[in-house]
Amino acid sequence: MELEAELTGELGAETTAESNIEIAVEVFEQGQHRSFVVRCTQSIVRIGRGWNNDVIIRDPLIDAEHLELFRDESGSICIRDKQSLNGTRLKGRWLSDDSKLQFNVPIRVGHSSIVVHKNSEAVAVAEPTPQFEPVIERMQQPLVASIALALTLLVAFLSGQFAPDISIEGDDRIGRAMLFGLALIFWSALWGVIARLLRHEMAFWGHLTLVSALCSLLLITDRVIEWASFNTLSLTLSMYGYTALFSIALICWLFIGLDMSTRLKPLRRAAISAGITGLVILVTFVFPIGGRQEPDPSAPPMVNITQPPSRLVVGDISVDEFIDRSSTLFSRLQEKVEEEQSLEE
Amino acid sequence: MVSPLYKLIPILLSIFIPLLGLAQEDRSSLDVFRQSIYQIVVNENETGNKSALGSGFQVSPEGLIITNYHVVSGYVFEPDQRWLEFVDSEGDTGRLSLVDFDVINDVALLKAEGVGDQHFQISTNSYRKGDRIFAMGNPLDYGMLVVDGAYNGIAENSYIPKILFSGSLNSGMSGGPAVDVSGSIVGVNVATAGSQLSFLVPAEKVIALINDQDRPESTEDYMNHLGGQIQTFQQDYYAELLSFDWPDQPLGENAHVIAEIAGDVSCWGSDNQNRPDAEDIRVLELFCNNGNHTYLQNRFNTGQLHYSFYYYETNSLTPKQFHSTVGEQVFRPDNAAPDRYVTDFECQQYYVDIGDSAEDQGFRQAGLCFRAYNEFTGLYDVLYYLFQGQDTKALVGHFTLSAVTEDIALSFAEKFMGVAEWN
Repeated sequence: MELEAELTGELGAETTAESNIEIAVEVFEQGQHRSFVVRCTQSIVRIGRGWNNDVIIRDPLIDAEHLELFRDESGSICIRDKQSLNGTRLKGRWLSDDSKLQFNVPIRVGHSSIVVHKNSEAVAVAEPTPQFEPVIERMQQPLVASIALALTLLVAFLSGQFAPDISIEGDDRIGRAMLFGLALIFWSALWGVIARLLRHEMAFWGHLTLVSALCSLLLITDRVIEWASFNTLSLTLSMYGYTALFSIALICWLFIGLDMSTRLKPLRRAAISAGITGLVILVTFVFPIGGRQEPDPSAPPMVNITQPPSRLVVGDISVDEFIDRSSTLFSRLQEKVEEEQSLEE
Repeated sequence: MVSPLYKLIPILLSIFIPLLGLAQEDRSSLDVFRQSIYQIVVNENETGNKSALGSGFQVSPEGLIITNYHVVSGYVFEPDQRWLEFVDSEGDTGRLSLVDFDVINDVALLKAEGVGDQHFQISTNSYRKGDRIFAMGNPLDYGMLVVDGAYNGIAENSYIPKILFSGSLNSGMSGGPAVDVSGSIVGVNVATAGSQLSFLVPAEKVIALINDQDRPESTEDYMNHLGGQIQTFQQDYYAELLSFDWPDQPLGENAHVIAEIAGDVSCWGSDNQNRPDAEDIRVLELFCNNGNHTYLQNRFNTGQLHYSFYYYETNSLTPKQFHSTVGEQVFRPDNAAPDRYVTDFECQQYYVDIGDSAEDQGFRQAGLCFRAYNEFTGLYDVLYYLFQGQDTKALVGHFTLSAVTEDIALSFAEKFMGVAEWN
């Protein structure tokens, strides 16, 4: 099956028929073979992992924009490596400068090879180009990202997340909503930079859409759980609040981010993701940065209603059982008294 | 014609002549018994200065002196660091020893060496409301003072009997005698509620203490003696309390709670309906306590029973907001106790199934905490709460008991949990 990638660009209208490139491409992508004809109305054919390339190769060792073919002043088609991380090899040599394209000779990028044929009839079997996920493409649009962010803020506002405590007044709620929005933007920008460094195609707007959607999902889940019953998950979220959200987001993000951005094999990806998440959990909950806040021993003793209970997790006990169980407290107290008395002696 | 005014003369004379006679009698009483009233001083060994002052009076030719327990409580707790001294009407001083005390009724028996044999008689008469009595003592270290007042019977709604005295007692008069017109002891000055309303320990408690055979053998025995008295009193008090059928009363739309469970327990209510905070949560409160506040030492008291109920309702908050707000409530023990005399609290919290239809009524979370007294074996403070919640309604029940035994604590908790419930 032949697939034609019709591409238009800003230069398209001004370019002449001679400057157009029409080539047949065979891609051997990690053991899979695809071939197709590229008719480009521009003088450039872009090859890489990103969705905006003319030839998309989903090889993790290939950059988002890896190399390009272009017509030089003499009209010959040349090949240029766009300073990719893993480079491009032609006949066993690493490509450093622009070189003239040699037809029918494999260009090696990552684990894949590209063979360019001058004549489109040379391509015998054609396989479809894997469609780059249209969802991600849409996610990259600023309008979509802005709508996602606005919806997330609305969900957070409606679900009472900005005011779990009624002492928070109206103005503070708006302040908290703004902070929440800024955090999402900052988070997305951070990942946008990381993606850029890793030559990944997902940029700021895509991350903003994704992080907003994820937060909405968490907030709605929390609300549904709370509506269904008081249970431990709801308790955990309300007790740890944004820390829990942050941790969950981090786990997902690391995995998704590593998956899309690195050249690591899945097992290593999972190991690194789990390792970093574990570290975050350690410094957040187990050995918090700045030390754990110990209760003030001089503070007056008190008990409070600490948590909404869980009917799902904890079973009720009878009054008799409640009274019976309390007798263990007396033996513990007796030990304390004896300890105190021995200290005095 | 005789003026109507002259007709009044015989009537006026009939009123004033007996009063003049009384005044004569008062002065003679004072003169006779002045020498039997002492200032009681608790001195610090380290600084050599006084740490507490009170009054006392002699009740036997052998030099037995009665004062309040709370005057000498510092000595009871730290007999190695303090010593007792009396100052007589002439300003002479001498050592005192502690013979016995009754912490519940707040009286102590002291023995003075080298004092005269003049002493007060303890009255066994009965009195009527309005009978004239005189309280004597040394207020604020200014010298002997006589306060004129009236006997007003035994205070109602008090489990520990106290005579109501309509006269002003002041600090330092504690432990001084209150006598009738014949000079016999009616009671011992003990406390004031201000505005001419004061309390006396009845004379029979003084007689009981003098005749008490179970006296502490040495200073090391003071704490055992104290703990034993508290325990005996609490056992009697709670045995009676637990034998009653506790009445209940409605609170809010759905709840039934415990009303006044005994004569010495009084309850008050409050409602935030007209306050701004009612917009978010409507709160109805009922709080009850007894009047037993047994003073042990400075910032150390016990014997209180307190229970309260809070009914919450919201029309505007989400369940999460509602429960996080209601859950901020904190309970503390009522009785103050320095750390060295009590352990930390040990607590348990469970979801408790009360009644048959608990599934339909949200949830019930109960917490029970105890702390032990280091010095009084077998006595504990108890802190309890029961939180019953639905999405927009909640009932919180709470009680604290101080200085009770394990049996009392558990019986009380069981009974309490059985009475308060959603309707």
